[in-house]
Amino acid sequence: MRRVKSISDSKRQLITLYLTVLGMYAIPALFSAPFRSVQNATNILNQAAPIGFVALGQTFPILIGGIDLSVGSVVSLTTALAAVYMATSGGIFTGVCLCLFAAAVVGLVNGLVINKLRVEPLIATLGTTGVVSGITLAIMPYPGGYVPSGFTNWWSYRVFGFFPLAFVYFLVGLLICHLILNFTRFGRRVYALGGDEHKASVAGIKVKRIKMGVYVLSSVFASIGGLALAARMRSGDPLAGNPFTLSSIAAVIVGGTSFTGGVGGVIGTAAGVAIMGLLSVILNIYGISPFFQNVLAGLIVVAAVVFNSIRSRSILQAKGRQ
Amino acid sequence: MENRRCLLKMVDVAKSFPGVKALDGVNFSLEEGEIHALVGENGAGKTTLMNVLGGVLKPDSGQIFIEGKETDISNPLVARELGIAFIHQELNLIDELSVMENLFVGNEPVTRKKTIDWRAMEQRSLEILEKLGLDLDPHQIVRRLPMSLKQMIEIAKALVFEAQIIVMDEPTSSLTEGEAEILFKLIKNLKSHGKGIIYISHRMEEIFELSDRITVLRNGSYIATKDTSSTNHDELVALMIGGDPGQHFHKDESLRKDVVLDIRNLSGHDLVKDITLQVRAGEILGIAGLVGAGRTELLETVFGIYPPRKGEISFLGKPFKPSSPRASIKAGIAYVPEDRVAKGLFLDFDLYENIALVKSERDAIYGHTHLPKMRTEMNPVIGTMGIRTPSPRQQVKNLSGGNRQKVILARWVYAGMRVLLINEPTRGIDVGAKSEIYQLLKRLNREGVAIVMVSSDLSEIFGVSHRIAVMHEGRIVAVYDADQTDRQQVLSNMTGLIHSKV
Amino acid sequence: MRISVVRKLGRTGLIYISLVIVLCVLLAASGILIPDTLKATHLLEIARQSVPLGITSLGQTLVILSGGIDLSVGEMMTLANIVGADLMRGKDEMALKAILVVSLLGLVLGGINGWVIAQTDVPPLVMTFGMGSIVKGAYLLYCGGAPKGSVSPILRTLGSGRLGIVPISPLLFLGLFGVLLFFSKRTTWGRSTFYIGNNSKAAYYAGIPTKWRLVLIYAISGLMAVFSGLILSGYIGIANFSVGGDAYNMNSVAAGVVGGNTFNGQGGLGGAVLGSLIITLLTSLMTSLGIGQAGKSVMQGVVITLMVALYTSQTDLVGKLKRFYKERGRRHVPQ
Repeated sequence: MRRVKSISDSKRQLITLYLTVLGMYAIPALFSAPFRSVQNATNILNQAAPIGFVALGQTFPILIGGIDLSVGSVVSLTTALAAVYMATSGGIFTGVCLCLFAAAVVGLVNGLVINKLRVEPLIATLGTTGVVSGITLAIMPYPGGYVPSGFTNWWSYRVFGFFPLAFVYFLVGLLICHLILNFTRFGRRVYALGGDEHKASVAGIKVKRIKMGVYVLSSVFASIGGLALAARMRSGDPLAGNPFTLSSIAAVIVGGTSFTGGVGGVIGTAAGVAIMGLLSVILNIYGISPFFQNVLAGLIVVAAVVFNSIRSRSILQAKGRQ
Repeated sequence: MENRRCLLKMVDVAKSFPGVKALDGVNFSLEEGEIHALVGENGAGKTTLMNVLGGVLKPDSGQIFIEGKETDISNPLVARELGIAFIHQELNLIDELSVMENLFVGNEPVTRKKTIDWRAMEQRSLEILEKLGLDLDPHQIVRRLPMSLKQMIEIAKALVFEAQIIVMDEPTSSLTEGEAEILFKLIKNLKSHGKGIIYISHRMEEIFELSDRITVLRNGSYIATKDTSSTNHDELVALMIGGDPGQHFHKDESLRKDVVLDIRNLSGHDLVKDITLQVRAGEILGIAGLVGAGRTELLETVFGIYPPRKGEISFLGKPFKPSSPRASIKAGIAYVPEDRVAKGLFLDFDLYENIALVKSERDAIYGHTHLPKMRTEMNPVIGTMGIRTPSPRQQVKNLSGGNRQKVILARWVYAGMRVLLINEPTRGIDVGAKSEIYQLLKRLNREGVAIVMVSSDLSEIFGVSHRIAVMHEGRIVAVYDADQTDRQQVLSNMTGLIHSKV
Repeated sequence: MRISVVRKLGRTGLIYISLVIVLCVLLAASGILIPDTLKATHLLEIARQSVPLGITSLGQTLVILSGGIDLSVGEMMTLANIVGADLMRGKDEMALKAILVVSLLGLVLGGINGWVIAQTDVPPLVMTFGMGSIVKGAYLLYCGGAPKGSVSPILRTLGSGRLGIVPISPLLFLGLFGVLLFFSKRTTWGRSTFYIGNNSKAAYYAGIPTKWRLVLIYAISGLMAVFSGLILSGYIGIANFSVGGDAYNMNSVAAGVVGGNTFNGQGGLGGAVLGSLIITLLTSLMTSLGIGQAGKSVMQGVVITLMVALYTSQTDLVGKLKRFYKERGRRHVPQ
C-alpha cells in the first residue's frame, strides 16, 4: 500500500517556531558581545524555568478549550508557603510536598466548580484567584521570609558551570508533559475533548474526569513554577505570581496551541516560552524601554490569536461554509 | 439469499408517542452480506425504527432477534456491544485528530505499561483501511479531508469494534456524485465481507444500484418488503405514497397577483446554481427537494446570509442586492429559519422582546425605541396569531414548538413584509398547531404577501402551495402548478430520476 | 395579591429586591458592629467610594451582557489618570481638552477591542487582557516611568467636592447611569446588547448588525473606564499609577455578576449599581473590622463564583427565589 509521508501542519509549525527561537538567539549573538556571553545564556535559561513550568501546566486547560486564570495566584501562594514553612519547620521535603498538595487542592476546587456548579472556566478560575490570593496574603502579607539554601542549591546549581539545574528540571517536566499528552489515554482524551466535547462524550470518554485531571495538572505545574521562582528569589512574595497568568497564556498561544482546543502541545509551548523570554532579553540589551515590552507582549498575544483564528476560518471557508 | 445467516430480525415492533403511533407492527430482517434498503416518506417511521434498534428508544411491544437470539437492547452501549453501528448524517469525527485516532477514540490500544500503543494503532488502522480499500494515511488530520472520506472513516470506525450490522442514514446527502460512487464501492466491499447493511435513503437510483431488498414504511406501518430485482421505481413510489391523497387546502387562486420577487440566474453558495424563479404576491411557492439539495442555501442567499455571485434579483420591480439580513429586512423580505432555536429565538426573553426587535431595529430613528409603547401595539398581534401563553411576559423557552413558530411569524407580521421565506414551517410541530400555521400563511396571502416555503414534507408542499419548484443538487429542475402534477412526478424530480425543465 | 406581584417582577425584579435586602442586612450589620457607620455622612462617603467602581461596572456590565468580558478597564483607568493629569498640569483651562482627549482614547481603544473581537474569533478575555498590557505599556512609555502633573481644580471638585454634605461624584454617577439606562432600555443599539448576548446568530438573522454593535459596546466600556479613572484622579489629585489597575478588572466583573447579569444577556444596569454598592460596602465593612486585603480577596473570589453558579440557568436561582418569596399555587409552566 502506497503511503504519502508528508510533513503535517503541526510539525511545520513547530519547525517554524524553533527556527524563530534559533534566529532570535543567533542574530543578536552575532552583533552583541554581552548577548553572546555564557552568563547571558545562563540567565536566559534560569529565567525561563519558572514561567516555563507555569506555561506547561496552562497548556492542558487551553488544549481542552478552557483556561486557568488561577495559575498566577498559585505561583504566589507557593513562594509564600515555601518561604514560610521551609525555614521554620525545617523540612525542605515537607515544604515541597505542602506546596504541591496545596496546588492540587486548588486544582481540584477549580475542577469541582467547573464540573459541579457548571461555572465557565474563566469565571471559576477567576474566583479561585481571589480566594488563593487572599489566603496567600494571610500567610505572608509582605514580601519576605527566607528560602533555605538547602533548597535553592537544588535549583541554582550549574551543570558544567553554566547550565542551571532549574532548566534541567524544566526539560524533565517538558518531557513528562509530552509523554502524558502523547502516550497515555488521558492525554489523547484531552485532545479529543478539546476537539469536540460532545462527540468525545458520545465516544464514551468520561469528560468530567478528564477536566478534573487537567485543572489539577495545571495547578500543580504552576506550583512547581512557583518553587523555581522561590528558589531564584530566595524569599517569598505574595504578589510575585501575578504576571505569570498572562505570560503563561501568551507563551501557550504563541506556541501554537489554539484557544478553540484540540490543537497544539507542550513542545510548542516551550518554544513560546523561549520566544517571549528572548524577546525581553533582546529588548533589554538594546536598551529598549521595559515599558515598551508591555505593549509588545500584548500585541504579540493578540496577533498570535488573531493569526490562528484567521487561519482556522480560512479552513472553514475552504469547506464552503459561511 | 439461501442459507445465509440471519443477522437481525425485528418482529411486530410497535412504538407510540403521546398522540402518535410512530411504529405499528413493523417487521424487518437482515441477512449476512445483504444490503437492505429502508424507504418511506418523512415521518414514515424509519428513524424511530432505527432508534429502537440502537437502544435509544424502547419499543412498546415486539421482539428483536440478533443472530437468532432474542435480545433486549436497553441502551446505545448494548447496541454497540452487539455489533450494531450507526452512521448518521451528522458525522461523529473529531476534526483535530488524525484518522487513526478517530478510529480508536475512547478505545485506544495500550501496551502492558498502560501507555498508548501507537504502533498497534497504526497497524490495525492500516488493516482496516486496507480492508475497505482506502488509500489513506492514518496520520492524516481529519479536518481537511473531503466529506466522502470522512464518511468512510466513520464506516471504518464501525469495523474497529467489529460491527456486523451497519446502519447508514442518508450517507450520500452531503456527497457529490463522484464521492458517492466511491462510497458505493465501499459499501459493496463491506457486503462482500459478510456485513449486513441497513441503508436509509430517499434517492431511488442509489437504492436500485445498491440494495438486495427494500422495505417500505408508511405512517409508521409496515407496507412491504420487495426483492430489488423484482420491483421498479414506480411501484416503490406508489407503495410509499399509498392511496394517501394528502391534505388539500382550499387554495384561492384569485389572490395571486403580480410578480414581487424575480430571481434570474442566481448563483452563489456551492448549492445555489443558476436559479431562476418568480414569486407572485398572494401565492405560496413550495420548494421541494432532498436534504442537501440547496433549498436552505437558496432562501438564505435571498435573505442576505450568503453572498450572491452571479445573477440578478428584482424585488417589487427594482433591482435588489441581498448584502445582509438587515438590507433584506429593510426591503421587506422576511425569513423564518428551520432551526428556530439556533437562528430565530431569544429563549430567555419574553414574547414582547422576541416580537418587537425586528420592527424596532428597522424603524428606529437615531436608534430610539420605546418597548413599553410597542407592548400595547403587540397585544392584538399576539392575539390574532393565536399564541397560547399564560402571559406575553412569559419566556419563550417555556413555549411549545408550535407557539414558538408563531412567535417568529408574529415578529414578521408585526414588522410588516412583502415576501416571506419560510423554511420547514411545521417541523417538530404537533398536528393542531400545524393547521393553524397553514391558516396564518393563507391569511398572509390574502394580505398580499408572497410566500416561498421550503419543506421536506410532500403532503405539506402539495397541501398548501400554489406552485411547486423542485430542487436537485443546487438547481431548480422543475416548476409545476400544484394541480398540474402529482407526488410521483415531484418525487422523481427530487431524487434525480427525471430532469425536466419547465 | 402577593403572588401576582412576585410574578410581575420577573427575574430582574426579584434579583434587585434580594440585592436591596442584602444591602440592608449589610448596613444593619455594620450599624450594629460599628454604631457610627449609620450616620448620613458615613453613608454618603460609602456612596462616594462606590462611584469609580460603579462607573466602570456600568461599561463592564454591558460587555458581560453581550457575552464578553473586558479586562482592560483597570489599565484604561490608569491611562486616564496619567494622560489626563499630564495634559492638565493643574490648570483649569486645559481640563476640557484633557477630558476630551482621554475620552477619545477610551472610545477608540475600547472600539478596537470590540472590532477585533467581532472580526475574528479571538476570545474577549485574550483580546482585552492583551489590550490591558498594551495600554499599560503605552502609559508607562508616555510618562517615561515617572507620572507627572496634577489634576485641575474643576476635576478635583468633581472628584472630591461636596454640595452641602452631598458629595458631587455620586451625582455624576447617577447622571451617567441615567444616560446608559436610557441607552440600554430605549435604544435599539442598547437593546441589541442583550440580544447578542442571548443568541448572536438569531440577532444577526433579525437584522441586527452585530459587528458594529460589539464595537459600540466595547467602546462604551472603554469610555466608562476612562471616566471612572478621571473621577478617581479628581479624588486623588495627582498622576499616580495606583489609580485603577487589576483590582478594578476583577471588581467590575464581580459587581456586574453579583448584580444578576449573566453572559447570555439576562440582567440590567441597575444590577451593576447594586452590585458595586454591595461590594464597596462589604469592603468598607471588612476594613473597619480590621480584616485586611487577604480576607477581602477571599470574599471577592467566593462571591463571584457563588453568584455565577447561582445565576446560571442550571441551578435556577429564580425558581428558588420564587419559592423563597413563598409563591404558592404556581401555574404549570409547559416545557
